[in-house]
Amino acid sequence: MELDHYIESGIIESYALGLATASEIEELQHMRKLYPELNTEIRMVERRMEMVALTEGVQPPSKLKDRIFQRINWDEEKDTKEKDKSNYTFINIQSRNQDYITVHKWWKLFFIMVFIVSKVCLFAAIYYYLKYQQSQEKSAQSSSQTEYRIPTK
Amino acid sequence: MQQSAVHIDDYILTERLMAGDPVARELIYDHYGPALYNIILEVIADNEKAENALTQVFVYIFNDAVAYRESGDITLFGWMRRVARQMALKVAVGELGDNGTMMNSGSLLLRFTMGLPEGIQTVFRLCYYKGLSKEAVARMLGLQPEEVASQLREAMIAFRKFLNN
Repeated sequence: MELDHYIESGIIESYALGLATASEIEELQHMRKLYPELNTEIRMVERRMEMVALTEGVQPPSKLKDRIFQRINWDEEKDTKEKDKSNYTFINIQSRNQDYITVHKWWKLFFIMVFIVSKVCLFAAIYYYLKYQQSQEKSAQSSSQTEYRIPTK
Repeated sequence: MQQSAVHIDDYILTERLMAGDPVARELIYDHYGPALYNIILEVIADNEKAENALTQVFVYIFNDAVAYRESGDITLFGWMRRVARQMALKVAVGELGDNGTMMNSGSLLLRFTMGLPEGIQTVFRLCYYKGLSKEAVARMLGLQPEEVASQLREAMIAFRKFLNN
C-alpha cells in the first residue's frame, strides 16, 4: 500500500526532527489531506519523541526562568505603553448648538484691527468736529467786530 | 532528569498562551524547559549561548503561539522541538569544532547517531547537528546530492526502527 510505503520511508521522523526539505514538507501536507490517518501516525511519532525528550531533559539554570519571564513582562509593558499612546480619546470641543459658527483664527486679528481703526476714526471725527466748531466761533466773532466798527466812520 | 508523563492538552494550552495567561507560560516552561534545553545543548557546546538560545525560544513561543496554529503542526511539542533546534542552529552559527553532542552522552538521539555506520553517521551529524543542507553536505564530502539524500533516508528508516524499539 502506498501509504505504508510512504510511512516506512522515514519521512515522518525526518519531519519531526526538522530535517525534511520544503518540497518534502509540501508533499507531506498533501499526503495528510489524502490520508487523514497519517496525522495519527505523525502524532504517535511526535508523542514518542516527546516522552523520550521529557525523560532526558536537562534542568536549565534557575536564573534563566526569571530572565525569560522578566523579558516577557518588559515586552508586554512596552506594548501596552505604545498602545496607550495611540489609543487617545478624541474630545470634540465644538458646541452642539447650531447657533455657533467656526471661523479661521485670522478673523480675530482682523476684528481687532477694525476695532482699533474705528476708534481712531471716532477720535479723529470728534477732534475735527471740535476744531471746526472753534473755527466757526472765531469767524463769527471776527465778523461781528467788523460790523461794529463800520458805523463809527 | 525524570519528568512526569502527564500529558497537557495542546489545544487548551495554546489557547491560554495566546491569551497571555502567565500560569500557562509557567506550566510550559516547567514542563518542557528541560527537554528543550537538552535539544539546544545537542547543537550548542557553549552554555552561555545555549541559555541565550533557550531564552529566545521561550520568548518566541510565548509571544507567537499563534504561529503553532498557523503552521498546521500536529503536536505542540513537535513544533516547539523544531523551533528550539532552528534557534539553536541560528545561535550556533560560526561555532568552530565539535558541537554540544557530548553534553548529554546518554541521550537517545546521540546513542542512535553513534550506532549508525560511519558514512551515514557523518551525513546525519552534518545535517542534524550542524543544520547543513543536503547540497552543502554533498559539496563538503565530495558526493552527489542524491547520494546524501539516499544516506539520510537510510538514517531516517533506521531512526524509525530505533524509536519503535
